[in-house]
Amino acid sequence: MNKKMVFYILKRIGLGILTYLIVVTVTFWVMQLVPGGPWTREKALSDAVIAALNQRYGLDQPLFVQYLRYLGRAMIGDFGVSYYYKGREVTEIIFNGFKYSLGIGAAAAVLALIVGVALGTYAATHQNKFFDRAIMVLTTASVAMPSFVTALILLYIFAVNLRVVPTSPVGVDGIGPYILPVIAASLYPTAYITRLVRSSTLDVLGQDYMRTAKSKGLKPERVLMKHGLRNSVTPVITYFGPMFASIITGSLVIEKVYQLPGVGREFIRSIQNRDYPLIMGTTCLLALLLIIFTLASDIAYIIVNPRVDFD
Amino acid sequence: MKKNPLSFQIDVDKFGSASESEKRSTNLMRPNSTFFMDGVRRFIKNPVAMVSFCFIVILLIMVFIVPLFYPYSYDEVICYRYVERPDPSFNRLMPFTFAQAEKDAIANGVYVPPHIFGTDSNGHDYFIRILVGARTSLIVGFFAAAIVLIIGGTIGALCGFIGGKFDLIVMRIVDVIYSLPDILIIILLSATLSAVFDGNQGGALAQLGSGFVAIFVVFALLYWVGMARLVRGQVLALRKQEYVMAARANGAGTGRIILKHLIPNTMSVIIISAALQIPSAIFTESFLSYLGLGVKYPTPSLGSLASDAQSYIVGNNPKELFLFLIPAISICLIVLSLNLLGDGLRDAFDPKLQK
Repeated sequence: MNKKMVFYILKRIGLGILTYLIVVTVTFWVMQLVPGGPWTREKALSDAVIAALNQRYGLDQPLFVQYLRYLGRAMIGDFGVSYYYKGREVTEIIFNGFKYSLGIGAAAAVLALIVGVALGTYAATHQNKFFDRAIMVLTTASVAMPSFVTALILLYIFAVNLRVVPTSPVGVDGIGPYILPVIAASLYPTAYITRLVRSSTLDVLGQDYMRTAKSKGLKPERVLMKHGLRNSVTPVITYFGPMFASIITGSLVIEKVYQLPGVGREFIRSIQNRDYPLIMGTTCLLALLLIIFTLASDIAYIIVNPRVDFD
Repeated sequence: MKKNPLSFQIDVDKFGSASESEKRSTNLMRPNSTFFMDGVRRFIKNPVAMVSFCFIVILLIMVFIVPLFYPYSYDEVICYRYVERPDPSFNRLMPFTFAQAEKDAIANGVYVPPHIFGTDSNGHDYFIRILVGARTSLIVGFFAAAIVLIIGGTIGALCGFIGGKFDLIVMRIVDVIYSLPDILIIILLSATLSAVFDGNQGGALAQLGSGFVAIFVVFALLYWVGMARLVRGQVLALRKQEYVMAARANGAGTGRIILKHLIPNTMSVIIISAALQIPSAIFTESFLSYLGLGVKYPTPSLGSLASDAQSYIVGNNPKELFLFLIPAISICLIVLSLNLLGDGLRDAFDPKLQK
């Protein structure tokens, strides 16, 4: 690690904190734009009740004071209590949902990595053969399909028609209900990683050190594994941040399709319920996770690939 | 005339008129080709891109012209043509079939236009809804791309030209915006805007639907940064080119350099990158519509049509599956052909990127 690298990492961390502050600020002020306030219900509450509620949640303070308070608490991950679920902490509701979302997201990411790297490498080493062409056509087609379409089609084929997995997790034990969500969530990243690895492997295969390794008498598989893969997989590291983002985005849809009680479904519900602290908390926490992942993948990239240019 | 062989005196005999064969040698073998024409030729030779291009053109003609003279309109409940009260027998008709009242009308010699894709569960003609839905999605895409092009292009060009402190500050802002989570902000904004619009019904923006406006706002606020970086990079790279220096040395002003050198040389890259924003905006719109944050009924978009029809999937009613499949396949085909078209344009007009 040289000086430039440390400076770069510090700069990135600073930028990450700044981004988080901006997200918190934006969510706070955007929510202030909503007319009606959090107590707008089908049945109108009396003024006295609203005043009491406002006092209880600190909403009678001037806006700027509310903002500073909110900012201060958001920095330590405290987003207050939900207005809709009586007496439950926002953080607790979110982490309850995270059990499902994170499990599915992590499984989807691992699946996408393994399948993507394998397919991409195979396609590159068999360039322009039938299998390579087929992979390219499939990946091109699958990046053009919205995630809810693939999720619903999978649901129709495997759960509704073939009945190999249950359609909903309600009252079902085991991993059965989570197989389709993982596959659906991994399709887009798999296609992306496959294309990424294919093009970077093609690049690596033409390098001089590959020829040198081959001329030393190494077996082709060993050349590919030892010298090729390490270099061809480095670009995938930069995709970790965006992949996490796409999995989060996908989880909103996938949890709706498969009726999973994850954080995405909670987020959509909180919007319908006008549960302000939950909306703001979910946005901020997801953004924070996203920022951390992007930061981690950027730092990992420069550690793995020291040739990177810092300008 | 006697002449010293070392003399510089001009030999007048060498300045006669050219012979026929000499004239022929200056003829052009073929007309001059511009960069643009080269690109067009490369593009036409690419079958995938040409098929996508034709598909998009046919689609554009269909979605903008057919609704003008189609016998049904997208928000018309058909049963009111025949009966006073809502009639469920008009709902979810199969393609090219008629409800009983329509059959009676046909028996009486009245011409009843066919329902090419049948009708949906609200008794609308589905074909026109699909067409108008595709139109909505395409309009979202084109406008979003235009917003990105205008805002990002202007800011990027200014950064490249002015440079210095201005460039530094704007680029730091770009860095921050780049790492904002776009989808979360879109959802947050569209949820907020839908609450705002619920307050004032009937406004022009409220008619469009909150998701629509949120997409445009977010594209205007967040997505310009990629374009700004691209344009700035292009301008900085081109300013160092020798031919720009040559033009300047020949006395060309900034205006002429921008008009004659910078714009023609950056336009292709920039427009292609803007074109690739179109499918991404269509994607975002369908995603929001699926979550119920998109366009407002009765305005259809492909995403909202697919979302409305998703109950037939879980209900396992294969007869009605087409209500889901038609909009779903339409989105896939449109996004796929726009992606392939963008790739084809990039290959044709940006040969530097080719391997």
